[in-house]
Amino acid sequence: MNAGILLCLVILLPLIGGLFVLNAKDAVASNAKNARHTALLTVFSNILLILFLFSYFKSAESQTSGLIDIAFVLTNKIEFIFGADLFALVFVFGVQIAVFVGVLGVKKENQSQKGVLFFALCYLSMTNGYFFARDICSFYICFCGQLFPLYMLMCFANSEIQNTKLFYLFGHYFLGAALLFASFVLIMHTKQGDVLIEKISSVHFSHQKSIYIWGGIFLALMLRMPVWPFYHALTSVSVKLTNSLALIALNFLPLSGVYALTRYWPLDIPVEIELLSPIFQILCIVTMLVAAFGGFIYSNTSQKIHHYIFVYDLLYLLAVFLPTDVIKMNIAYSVFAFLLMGSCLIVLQSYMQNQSLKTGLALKGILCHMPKASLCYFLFVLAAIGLPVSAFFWNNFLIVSEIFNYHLYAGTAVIFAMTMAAVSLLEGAYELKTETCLPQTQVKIKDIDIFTFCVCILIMSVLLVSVVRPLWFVF
Amino acid sequence: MLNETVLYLFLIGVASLIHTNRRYDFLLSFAAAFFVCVVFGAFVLDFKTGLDLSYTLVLDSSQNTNIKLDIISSPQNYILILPFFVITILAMFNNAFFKYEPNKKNMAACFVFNLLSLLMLISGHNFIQMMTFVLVVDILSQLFIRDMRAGRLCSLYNLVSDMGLFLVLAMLEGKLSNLDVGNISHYYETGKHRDFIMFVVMFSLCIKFGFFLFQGYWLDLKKAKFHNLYFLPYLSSSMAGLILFVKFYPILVVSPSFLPLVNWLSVLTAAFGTVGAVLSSKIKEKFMYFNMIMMAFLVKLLERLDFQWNIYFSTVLILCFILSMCFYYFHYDIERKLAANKPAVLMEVFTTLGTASALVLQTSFLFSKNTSLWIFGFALVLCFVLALLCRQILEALKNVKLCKPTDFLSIFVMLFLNVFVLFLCRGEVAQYWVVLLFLACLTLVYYLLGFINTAKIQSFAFQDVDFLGVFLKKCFIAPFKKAGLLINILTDFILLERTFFPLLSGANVWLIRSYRRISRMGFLYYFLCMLFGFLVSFYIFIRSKQ
Repeated sequence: MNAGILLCLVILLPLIGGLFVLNAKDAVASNAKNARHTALLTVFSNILLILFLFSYFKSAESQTSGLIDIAFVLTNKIEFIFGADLFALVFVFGVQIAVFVGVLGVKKENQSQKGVLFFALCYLSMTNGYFFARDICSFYICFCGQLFPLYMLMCFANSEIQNTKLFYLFGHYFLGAALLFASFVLIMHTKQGDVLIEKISSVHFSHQKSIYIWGGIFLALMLRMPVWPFYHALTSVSVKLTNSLALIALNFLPLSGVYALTRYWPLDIPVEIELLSPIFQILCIVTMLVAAFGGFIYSNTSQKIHHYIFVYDLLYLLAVFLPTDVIKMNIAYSVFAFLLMGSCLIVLQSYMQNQSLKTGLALKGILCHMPKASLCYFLFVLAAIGLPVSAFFWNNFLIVSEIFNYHLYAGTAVIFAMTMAAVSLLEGAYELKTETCLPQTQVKIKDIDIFTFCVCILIMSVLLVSVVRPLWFVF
Repeated sequence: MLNETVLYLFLIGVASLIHTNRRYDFLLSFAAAFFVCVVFGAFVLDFKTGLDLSYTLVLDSSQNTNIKLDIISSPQNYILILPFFVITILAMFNNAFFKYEPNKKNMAACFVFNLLSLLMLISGHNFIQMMTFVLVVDILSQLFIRDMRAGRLCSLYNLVSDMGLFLVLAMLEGKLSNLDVGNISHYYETGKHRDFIMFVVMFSLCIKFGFFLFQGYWLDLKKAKFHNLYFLPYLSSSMAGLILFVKFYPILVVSPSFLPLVNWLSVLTAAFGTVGAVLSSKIKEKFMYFNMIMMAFLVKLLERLDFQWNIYFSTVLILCFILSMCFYYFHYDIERKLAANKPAVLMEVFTTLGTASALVLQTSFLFSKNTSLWIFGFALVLCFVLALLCRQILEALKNVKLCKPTDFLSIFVMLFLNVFVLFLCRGEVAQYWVVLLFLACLTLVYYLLGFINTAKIQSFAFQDVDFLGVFLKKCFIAPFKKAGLLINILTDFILLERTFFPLLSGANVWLIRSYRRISRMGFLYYFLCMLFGFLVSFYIFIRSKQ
């Protein structure tokens, strides 16, 4: 089959699946879970398609530039181009698995979860498009297209977020979209047509225009990252979100910023905004430390997980801004493992919180009554804190060593933040496993179902074997 | 060669994990121990041939560097691995025969994988390989402990220690652009910060050794069962630390603060350990403090040997393990309380004294020409602690009913250990006066202790409260948490939530209101619009002129 068509299918399949989800009979009374099963099947099909797409690459060492391309000519000036290389595919694959885990973790509430699932699939479709977009028009459409389903997803997720917090968060995102729009319009005006994103750096702009364009792109992507002062909006929303799928989806946005910066940001920072680079790096490190401290002071494990996620988002951001591209694939492998671990931890944490609410028992010691969840949770925590049970470990090692190569103090601060995040995560896991006085017979906590357990173990196996070869399942 | 040893050990480890009925546990754990013995035989034969061979498995050859697993068979590596092989075999046989161990088979698998990890750590020359296997050893130590309460602090301390090592290795890799350990001595050609690196490495290693100020987790381990614990100092994280100590030697020794730091830390640890061993009444606690002394001794010994791990040092390590095994058997005797086996207890005392003498003898062999003062110091400390232990054991067993020698296992184990100790120290008779002196001192101290009421000293609160742990908690962790809270409140709550966002929102509201007000004043509104339009046109005109 033509690879380009497969690529389009990967983008469109979640959208089509979403339509099926809307039509699925999901009666509350009969406890039917058709919508959830349809969503699972859609995402699983997408996973298979992506695995098939991997076969178009000969090996992990092969070219990382776009190898699969498809173009749709709209006018003589605008042409939508979608393309995939190994780097993009690794990201997309990680995202699909994370969404699959997220759909598994959708709560079995009385009300139907159709809305959540539909918008999650729409969001997934747009995210796939975002990762495959190669020209500025399609990139911009997917960039903005991600925001509406995400907003709806969070509204449907039935969380306790205040409207003002949500307003601040999406205010950031829409401001970013506006800035990106302005930058792309200026680029199109200069070039008199559509431009491939990786070619932006080779286009010659006047000094003033260059400041606007690069500043706009930079800020647009930065507004997606949890960098101070934008950090606050994201944390205040994510700590209140109780729906695991919405939370996983929200955490894709910073990673999508990392992806765009890795792919399209020139190695030499444009001279027009070079002055801002050290300030930005200092902000990144300070935010990392604040996030690490944040995780350390809270006793709530879900907050520890959120802060841990922010620390690693910022680590990738720092790595992206290094004037080298040798660690590009290391970032991809690390993000892949990070997505898998993060999504599983979020789902398990959310499940434990639900059980705690249902039974009225405290979260402390809850894992003593859930042997399957306990095993999975501890395995993922071990992987997440950087022990060599996944490729996350040595890829992070190479990323951090590259940071050390350029900035010694930054590297030290990064390790310090990582240590604090890891310690707080491990401490949180021990808190959940602290033995309680409650006898087993009095506890009515339900352990995770066998299917979720098998998926978690499968994901852990994928991570474990990735220590030896990151993409062992395809190469 | 070592790669074959690795393969065989891996197969034994995997085979030990096969799920079977509980009643075959003994058989399988014994078989595992036996096969490890066989592999050890082949290992010794390879050692004698003395071939230098290497085997490399490339995991990932990315753009910047190669991630690989090296198994280098060199005489130095064989000497390094040898004591761990012996200790593992002894611990495995003990595990197979010990009747209170509920999960013999899995423990046997853990022993094999632990040995495998140490072997890979020793034979590797790659930063990532080293880091990986240090972490694997740490994970396995948690599997050995098998107690959440006891292992909690241990895992947190080890995590901090590992992150310290991670920092140093990442820094070296970043500066040298090379993952080979052999290149670390070149760091000073490209980088600086020798004191910083030395302090970070020593911080990490001190945690692993359980040195003074970092012994908190080690003392917390007393909550675990003794049969999951007695081998831990000689097979787990501390030994990984000792191996790293040898590997990092070139980068540590260039710092002028290194040797004074090692000396002071060793002395303080030994002193603290001695005080702890005297004041603690329980054998398990005594064991913890005793191991602090032994770790300080081993580190100091290694430093005196210029970080050259030789066969004598390996023997010393094995003897230290045998001493800890004796502690474990003493504890086992006292715990049973109902009936103790007199010949077994006497055999244990005899073995302890014999092993301690052999230890002193081996140490004196290491420094036959220039024996320094600290060896005497160490011998005295050892003598004092052992005399105390023997007195405590014999006094504890005074009121216990002594029965016929039914516990053949203890007797058999102790006999075997005696023969083994004799075998280890065979052929060296030049310095037997050291043993005689040591035993004489020990006897003297034993009788002198009779005049002191040790029970009174031992009731001191020192046993129950971890003063340094409290100190660390109050002086480091609590301020950290408070600082974190303060930073979060300042940056998030006061600066953003209460200042920045309301200001932004207020400004927005003010602008909209002003616009509305102006738009209501018809004439002024039109005038301002015209003025704005004029200014824009003027700006464009000026720009076009330029």
